[in-house]
Amino acid sequence: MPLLDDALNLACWLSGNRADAEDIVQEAMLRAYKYLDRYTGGSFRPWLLAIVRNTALTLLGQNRSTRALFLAGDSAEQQAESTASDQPSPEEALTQRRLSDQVNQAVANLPPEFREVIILREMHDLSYKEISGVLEIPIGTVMSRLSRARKLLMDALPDYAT
Amino acid sequence: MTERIAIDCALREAYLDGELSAVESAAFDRHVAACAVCKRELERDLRLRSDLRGGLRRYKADDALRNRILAHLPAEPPKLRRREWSNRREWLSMAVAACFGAVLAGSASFYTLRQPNEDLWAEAILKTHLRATLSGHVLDVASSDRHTVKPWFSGKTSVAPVVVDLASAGYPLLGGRLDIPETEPLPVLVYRAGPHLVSVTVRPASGDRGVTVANRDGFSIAEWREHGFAFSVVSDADANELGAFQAAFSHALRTLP
Repeated sequence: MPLLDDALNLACWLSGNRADAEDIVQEAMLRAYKYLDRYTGGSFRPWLLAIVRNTALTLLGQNRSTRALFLAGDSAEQQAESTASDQPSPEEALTQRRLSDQVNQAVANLPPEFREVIILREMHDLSYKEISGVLEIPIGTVMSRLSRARKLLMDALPDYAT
Repeated sequence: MTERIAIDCALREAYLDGELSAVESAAFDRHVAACAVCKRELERDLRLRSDLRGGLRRYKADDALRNRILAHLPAEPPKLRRREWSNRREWLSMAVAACFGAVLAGSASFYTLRQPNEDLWAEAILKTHLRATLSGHVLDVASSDRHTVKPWFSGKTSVAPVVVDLASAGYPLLGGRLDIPETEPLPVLVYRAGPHLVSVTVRPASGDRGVTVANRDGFSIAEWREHGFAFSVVSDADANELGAFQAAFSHALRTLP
């Protein structure tokens, strides 16, 4: 996933809507540019994602009211948009959507602190250590939050009923 | 010094997330074979993972966002001399588009190459290249004529770089700039390779050394020594393209009049 897509993806999942996410990414890119001096090497991606996440906290903190316009309608609409451009075929996209709707909903419904660890781990493929750096929490907390998040997801998804 | 870790059910998620060493991981495999609970849980974990990775919507940036970001980047980086070229806007767009389109948007596969604490020099020249392309301040002297570019550096740095003309090989010289990757101002030659900008930092060095090409955070970096200089090349071109550029550069050095 290219870096700008990475940034936007995280911002969308954190903010819950694309308009806020684009503002977050724009601001985050400016900050990244400004703080390039503080980039100390290693993988650029977690460094950038940390800026995106911090920017999201700042901007969403200022404007709480815009939250939660997301999902059901919004996500279906955006799926349809992307179908027009880069999806293989409408049929495939439709099947894909049906399969993933519940999963998307379940993740979107997670409390923010659990949602962000799941997104960073499963979508951005960050290691525990990198997640710990992005969220500024100990690795032990990363592990317990991930574990809890997975449990919450399985509880929410009918497929995983025991 | 071996630290013994108890291999038990508590390691299941660390195993799932690839956080165990190879030895621990193999030990956990053996544990799972004997533990019905872990076997069942792991099956659920893997199913959830595949549902998440396959099913979660991935949002993608479009050109409108790219252009918006471009338009908001600082147009004028601080403390820069007046540029000697006029079509700055065009340059800015090209440099930043290159950055966000291909450079900053480096491919995901390089992400796994983590090289902590390694090679401060490579990091320093990568940063100067990033800074130049991000800010649009790619050139201090813009000229495709090496007889203009070379003398421009005199008096500005103690290094008198060798400048080669690679236009016939398909790499037009765009000009040069002065960078300070560490403490010394050094000459940087800028070429174009297709849609990519190529920065060549030149330092004096004795002896020859064969070329190495590395990937770093989505960029390719080639380094070699020849002709009394150490050349460090950074670009968002891929390693093969950069290898071809290096070969052309090296060939031109050897056939200098």
